[in-house]
Amino acid sequence: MTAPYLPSGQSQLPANRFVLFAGTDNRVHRVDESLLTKDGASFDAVWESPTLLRAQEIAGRIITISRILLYYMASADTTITVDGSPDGGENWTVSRIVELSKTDGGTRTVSVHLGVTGHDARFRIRLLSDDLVVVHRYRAYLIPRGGLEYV
Amino acid sequence: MNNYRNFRINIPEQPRDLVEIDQPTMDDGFRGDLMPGVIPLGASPELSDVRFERGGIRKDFGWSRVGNAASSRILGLIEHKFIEDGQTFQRLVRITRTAAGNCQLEVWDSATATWIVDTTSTETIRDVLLSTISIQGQLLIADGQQILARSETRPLIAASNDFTPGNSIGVVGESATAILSPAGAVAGEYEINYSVDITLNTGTELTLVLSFKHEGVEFATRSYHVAAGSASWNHETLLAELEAADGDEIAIEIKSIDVTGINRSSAFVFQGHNETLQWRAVKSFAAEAVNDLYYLNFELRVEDGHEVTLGFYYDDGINAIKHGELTYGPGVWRNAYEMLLDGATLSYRFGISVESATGGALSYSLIPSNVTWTEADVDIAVHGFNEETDADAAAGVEYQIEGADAGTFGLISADAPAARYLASFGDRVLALHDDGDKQALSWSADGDITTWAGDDTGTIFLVDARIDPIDDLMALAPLGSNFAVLLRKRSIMRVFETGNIVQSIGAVHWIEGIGTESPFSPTTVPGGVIFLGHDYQVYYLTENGPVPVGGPVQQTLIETVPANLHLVDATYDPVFGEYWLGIPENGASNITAAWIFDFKHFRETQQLRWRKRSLSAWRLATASKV
Repeated sequence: MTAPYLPSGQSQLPANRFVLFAGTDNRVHRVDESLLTKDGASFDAVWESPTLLRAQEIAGRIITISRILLYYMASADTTITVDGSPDGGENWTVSRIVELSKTDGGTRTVSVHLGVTGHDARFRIRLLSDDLVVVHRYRAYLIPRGGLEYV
Repeated sequence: MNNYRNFRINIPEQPRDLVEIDQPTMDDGFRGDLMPGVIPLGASPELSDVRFERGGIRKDFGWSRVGNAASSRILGLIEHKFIEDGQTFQRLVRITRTAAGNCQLEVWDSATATWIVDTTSTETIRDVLLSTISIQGQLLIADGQQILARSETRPLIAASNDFTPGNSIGVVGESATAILSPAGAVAGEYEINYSVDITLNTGTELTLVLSFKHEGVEFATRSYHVAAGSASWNHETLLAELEAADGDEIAIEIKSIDVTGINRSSAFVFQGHNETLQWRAVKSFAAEAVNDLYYLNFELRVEDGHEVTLGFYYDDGINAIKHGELTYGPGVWRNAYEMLLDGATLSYRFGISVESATGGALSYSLIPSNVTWTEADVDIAVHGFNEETDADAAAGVEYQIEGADAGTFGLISADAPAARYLASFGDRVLALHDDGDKQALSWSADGDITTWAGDDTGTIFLVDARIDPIDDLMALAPLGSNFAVLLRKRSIMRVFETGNIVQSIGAVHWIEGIGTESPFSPTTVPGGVIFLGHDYQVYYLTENGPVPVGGPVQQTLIETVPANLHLVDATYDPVFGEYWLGIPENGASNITAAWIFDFKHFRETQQLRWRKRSLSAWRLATASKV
């Protein structure tokens, strides 16, 4: 293994240090910016949104996350998974595998129809493939519904 | 009584207007300190193995194995740096406990991609996470019952290899070679010895350029200039840094000879129309042309509508040889035909012939002028040294290789305390240890980490506890150049040099109510130390005091790390400016996750940005060379 190593997109990085850890498999492991696997095995990266019910006029209501528009960059044609939860992440009742197209330095968008309804509706993004995907913006489309409200 | 008077039924309004949330960034990190309904929309109440890039999220970096597995769990992982004979060594060391209970060091060898058992101590060590530091050329290890020291001493051994006996090169492209064996010079430094003799018999200036090659690849050049007469360089030495292996070839090659000679010319003896080969000029000087180049100068007029082909000849005294031919269209051509010939031949004749003319003799006029060349006579002798056969003043290539290790690994001193935690402070080692029911801080002599008794050494017992009876000494870390911090379970003390040899080190209370129960969490970062506090807050401690930076993760740490705080380990990645805090979750007996604090981002924006990685580890570390 030779230094320096450079992660994609950061060609000028003065990388000359390595984070290491002694694993419970009694091996030393080196964090490698050029890899998207752990010892060659894929791993899941997960980002969960906060509660999306924010607007004052619909506070306390039930909402439906109609769809999510994601802005992304991808190193290859690949997929990500977007899940929807009506109850703050206790149950993920909707799961969509979303196909992404390779981007060449620019940004693309993809619309994900979730249709998940609840008091604490959220979504989460799971990056499962070994292709580099950066999701850097989202736009959520919500539909207020009825429901019992304590006054 | 209406039990439902406080409820209002919202009649569904199908469909109401859409509400849009546009969130332009997603890199606010983890927020476990607020309810998910109020945290920023760019933050996350739950994340794993993502990192932040360009304002968004991406999969975090992967990792790879470094060599084979150790025979038992790795109790210590450290990069040990030391200087030996002016060379800097960086050893990535993993420390294990053998089946017999001894401390064993294994060193990573990047050339063979293997862990090599460096040495094993005859002292037994405890099966605990070890405190390690690298100081004054020694690797120190503390396990709570002793301080072990590994010092590596490798005497340098002279090695040399000769160039071929009797070698002498004097022509461009010639070379002298030496085979390196065993190679493997310390720091890759090789000295190449040779001599240069130049005699300029004819000519006014000469520049000789030598090329030095390793396995055919040029790594250096040297120039020698002679203005007149002769000059000698009897012992030249070129210092080269090479990654050479046993059997590699080193060569000295003559790259170029640039001579300013005497201009010569010889006129063609006949001018006019002639369609047969006529020898016109003779080079009769007994010296070589520089670079063996001759120029046949002529003027050719070709009438409109015609073409003339000229042939250019030379005669070495045996044969008339056509060197080349060229065809010219209408016009007036005043040209010099360049002819490269064998320099060993001392005498030539030259000629120009009309090979063909589309319009016959009346369609052209050829006026050969002369042949010109630059004449110089030089003798060059470059000699790669051969000490054994040619009795030169030195061997052709000289270098040094590492000898066998003559270092030691054992108790640093019989006087040293039974330390469980070590830190370097100035030129000393500070050690925390238990002395019965007492908590003690000991220190070595200034500049001599092997001396733990007598002047300039000492021990102070720190048993007082101001606000909490549980105030054990937990960790030490240098903070700035003037003092170190002693982190106790519930307080922080300053440790400083007194300047008094009788009591060289002093310790005073500094901060009450903040301490740590994770002795391996303190990590030096730019401007201070970051550590996990006993209250599960993460603090950035500078000379101005502590700054809480772990707000977003504190509540999560409280909920997920109920025990085994002593297993927490940390490290700092100076490239990305990140503090890694490895924690055992839910009572685990090892680190199961790392919370990563973007310290660089904090310094730039004051924003507390955390993310989480899942991993299964004993220890964390940072190294500069793997």
